Amino acid sequence: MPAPSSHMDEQRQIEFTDALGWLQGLIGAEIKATVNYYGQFFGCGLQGALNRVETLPPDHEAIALVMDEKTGFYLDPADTEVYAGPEITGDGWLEFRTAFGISVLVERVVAEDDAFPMLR
Amino acid sequence: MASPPQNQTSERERRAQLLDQLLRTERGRLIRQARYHSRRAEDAEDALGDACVQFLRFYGGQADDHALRWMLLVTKRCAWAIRRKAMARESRYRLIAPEGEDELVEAIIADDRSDAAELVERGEETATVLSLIEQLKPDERTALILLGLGCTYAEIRELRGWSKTKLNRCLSEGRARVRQLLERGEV
Repeated sequence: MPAPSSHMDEQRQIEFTDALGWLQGLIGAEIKATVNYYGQFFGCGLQGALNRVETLPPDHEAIALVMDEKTGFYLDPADTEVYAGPEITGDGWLEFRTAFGISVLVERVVAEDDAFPMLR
Repeated sequence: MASPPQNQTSERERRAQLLDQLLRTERGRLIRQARYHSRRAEDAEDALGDACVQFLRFYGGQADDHALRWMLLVTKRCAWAIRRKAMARESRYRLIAPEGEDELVEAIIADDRSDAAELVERGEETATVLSLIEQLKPDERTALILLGLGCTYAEIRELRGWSKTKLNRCLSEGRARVRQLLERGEV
């Protein structure tokens, strides 16, 4: 199975539809999507406002995440497993692991002050 | 500011231009994707055609790599949809293949349950009628079958060289025998 991450012990597999609900809750928020490849350092990431989560025809099962109105990525539940991380900051993260070894970690970008209000 | 219909038209034109451009540069890649997920070359062409229709209806992105990635994913999904339909059709055809009871039961369990049930019912009716006809006298059988096939009385008499009385007797006695057999439950 591809892409074990550093959060391996804390994550749990969830349904794609549950992930979709979580992503829809992030619309309008700043997110970071980190792309990794199984067993290799990939070091590629996208950051921006999540504008839309579109479902794609003909059956509207695959989705497109549109960030900053121009960039984004596509995910197909047929070859993607979703893992959810713990809600350390109240927002959590999701890891989409595709069958061809690429995984995308999606997390909300939280300002430090918001993440640890007790430190203010 | 443009009115909504004008916006829709310009959006459609934009999509059409994008698709035209995409097919000119990436058709090879798209058809390879379709073939990889299709069982036959014709299905792949259909899948790509369906994906193009979906693009013209729904694509809302930009004219960059997104259009290609969108089309690759949608082409794959369209190919799967065509495959699913073909498999459903094949499961129906298996029902009438003379391969024994197991095959029949397997087909009934298949997706299209209502069609399968209808075919079985029709098959049972046909078997009953055949059994009835086999029990008639040869001339009665011939008269009823020719009438059932749409021949007129005159045509049947001409075909068989029968008199009017002979034909009427064959038909009436044949019908009476069918009624008797049905009443007695001898089929």
